[in-house]
Amino acid sequence: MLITTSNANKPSVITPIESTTQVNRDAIITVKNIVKRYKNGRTITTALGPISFSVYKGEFFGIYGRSGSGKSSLMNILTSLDSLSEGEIVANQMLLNKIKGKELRNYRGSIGIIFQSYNLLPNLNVLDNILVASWSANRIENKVYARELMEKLGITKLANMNIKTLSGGEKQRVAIARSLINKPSVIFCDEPTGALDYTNEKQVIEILKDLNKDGITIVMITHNPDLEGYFDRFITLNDGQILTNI
Amino acid sequence: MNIKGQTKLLTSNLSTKWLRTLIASGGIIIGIMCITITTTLSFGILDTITKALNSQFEAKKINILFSKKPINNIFELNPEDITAKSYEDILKIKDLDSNLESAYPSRLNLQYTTELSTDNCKEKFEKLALSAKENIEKDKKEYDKTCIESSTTYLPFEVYLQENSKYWIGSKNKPNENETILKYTSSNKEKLSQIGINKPEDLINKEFSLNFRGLDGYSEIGTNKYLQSSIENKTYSKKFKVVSVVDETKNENNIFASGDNGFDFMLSYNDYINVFKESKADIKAEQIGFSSVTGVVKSVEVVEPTINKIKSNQLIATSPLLKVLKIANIVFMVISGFLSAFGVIALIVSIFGIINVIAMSVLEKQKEIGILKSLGSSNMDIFGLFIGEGFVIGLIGWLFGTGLAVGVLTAANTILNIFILPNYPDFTKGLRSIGIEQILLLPQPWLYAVTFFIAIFFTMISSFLPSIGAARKRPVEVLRNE
Repeated sequence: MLITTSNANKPSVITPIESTTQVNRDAIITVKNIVKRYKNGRTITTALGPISFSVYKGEFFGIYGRSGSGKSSLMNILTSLDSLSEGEIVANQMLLNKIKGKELRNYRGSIGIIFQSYNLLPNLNVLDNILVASWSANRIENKVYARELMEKLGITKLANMNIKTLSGGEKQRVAIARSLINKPSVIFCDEPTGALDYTNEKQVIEILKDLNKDGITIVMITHNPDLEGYFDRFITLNDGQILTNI
Repeated sequence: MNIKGQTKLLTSNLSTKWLRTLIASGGIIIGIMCITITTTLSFGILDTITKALNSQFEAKKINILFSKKPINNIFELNPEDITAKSYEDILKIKDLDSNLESAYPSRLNLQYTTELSTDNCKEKFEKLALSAKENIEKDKKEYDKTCIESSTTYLPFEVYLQENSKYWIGSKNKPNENETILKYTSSNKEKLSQIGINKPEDLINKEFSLNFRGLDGYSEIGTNKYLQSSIENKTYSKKFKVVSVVDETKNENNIFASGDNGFDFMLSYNDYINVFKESKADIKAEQIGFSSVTGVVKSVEVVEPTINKIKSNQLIATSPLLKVLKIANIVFMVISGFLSAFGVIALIVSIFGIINVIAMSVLEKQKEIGILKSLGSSNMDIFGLFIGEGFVIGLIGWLFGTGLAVGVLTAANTILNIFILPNYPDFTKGLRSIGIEQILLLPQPWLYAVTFFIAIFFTMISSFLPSIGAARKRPVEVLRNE
């Protein structure tokens, strides 16, 4: 069982202990009563929560919601790019609401993130854009693995090309390769197909499905209801609350 | 982030903004150039001259005069101005200032004639001295046929050796009593050949009779009293063995060599005392007067403070070479001051330029900062990227600034040595006399290190604040703003 109580003295990194239930043993992310509020002058807006859910190891998990539903706030919290106002999140055996400094950087380096707008570095070529995740996470640069990933994603020939010359689909494949370079157990995808045409959208989703089959947990945000069929489970957000949990 | 990643990200960023980087380093380039030129001018030339002067005994020599009233120029000194001191008192002068390495009495107020033949020079000399007012021309012609005459002043052995050590033949020891050291000069060469001496080595171990005659006056110790005509007709003769010779004919560059006086020689101090005692029996030998003292300081730089100290002891001193150095110093100080001020202003202005460039860079790369942080980069990694950018600006500024300075100085070398100095042969000759064949204006090795430190220091302080700002950015904010 994982320690998830709100004791002030508890360690920020959770030590796994003997599991007693199937659910907790397999949960890679446990979200418990989290709330996100934004302060704008004297006005405080609750964008998210309180919500609770779990993502289990090896799942293709969807977070569906329309614009303004709070899904991006949730994604930022899950990827530790933003802090939460209340509640607890345990992800990759780390208590996200407590970690900081080196532990925070380790967490960011241990997960994969795919953005809607690719977020590639325009001054680096394709290969270096993949390797930059290793550099940032202070991992040993593995060019062989990077080339394997490029081959798997069909972008081998683009290795030395400038990012600016690539199409949207190609850019997203580079972003997927980057998210995989540190061999993460979970990948967070923030509207990964939002900027793609139908053909590229299908291809990217298929790639993600394949990765999921290889054992990687995928957490994907989308506003596209057509993608629901790809998810093992998904939640629907509306006004910061979970509308459905399927 | 590892070093490889940092380097790759830094170089990729800079390669896309190379023109802006170059422009940002403009202030550093100008500043470093000015500082390098200034320092090379002020330290380079003066250092070259100072080092050359320090290697010259003459430059470190100061002439200390005793006077009750100020004397501006040693070479126009009237004997009436002099208050003589004893030999022992003079030796104590070196205790006046720690910069004085030594102090020797010089210019004993006696003049000598020397005879190098065994003919009746002594009698001829006495006759000449007695009939000074009658038939002087006739007697002198007869005297010149067989006698070699010279006038000299007492020169301390240490000074004599320092000035002539390069041209010394035989023993370099101080002469004992009844021994002498001679100068073989171009002017006495001809006369020496008359007595079978054709090269300086032939003089060694020869015995010569030296005839001494006191000058037409001397100063008395402890007073300003000048005694005149009291020793005119007193002479003293003694045989001396030559133990070493200085070949003055080879000393082409020695502008201080006194080759024109015929025959310079050096005796032990006791011999001088004895000569004086014998030639002037009516005063005490211990009261032999010296018109000046030669002091030798540790380096040229301390000549002036030493002189000031000696002046405060009511002793007057002067050093002509120091005046040259002082004039050069003033000229270079004016040039250096102007250029230094310009350089410092350029560096200060460059601070604002670099702050602006790095701040712009941070603004442009907000998204990249967010991406890198989302991938696990630390605040220090981000700080390192932007401070690294500042470092590169400093490095470029230093490289170009130093390169331009070397270029300007090389051009200055050409202009100076090809177009200017040849028009001043006396000056060039003067430089050669102190061992400077050519003035080369090139930065000293330590200057490269100092300017490198300055360039990096200025860019680092300029880049610090914007880099801190970049490091503190929250990824969610910069990615949201995108």
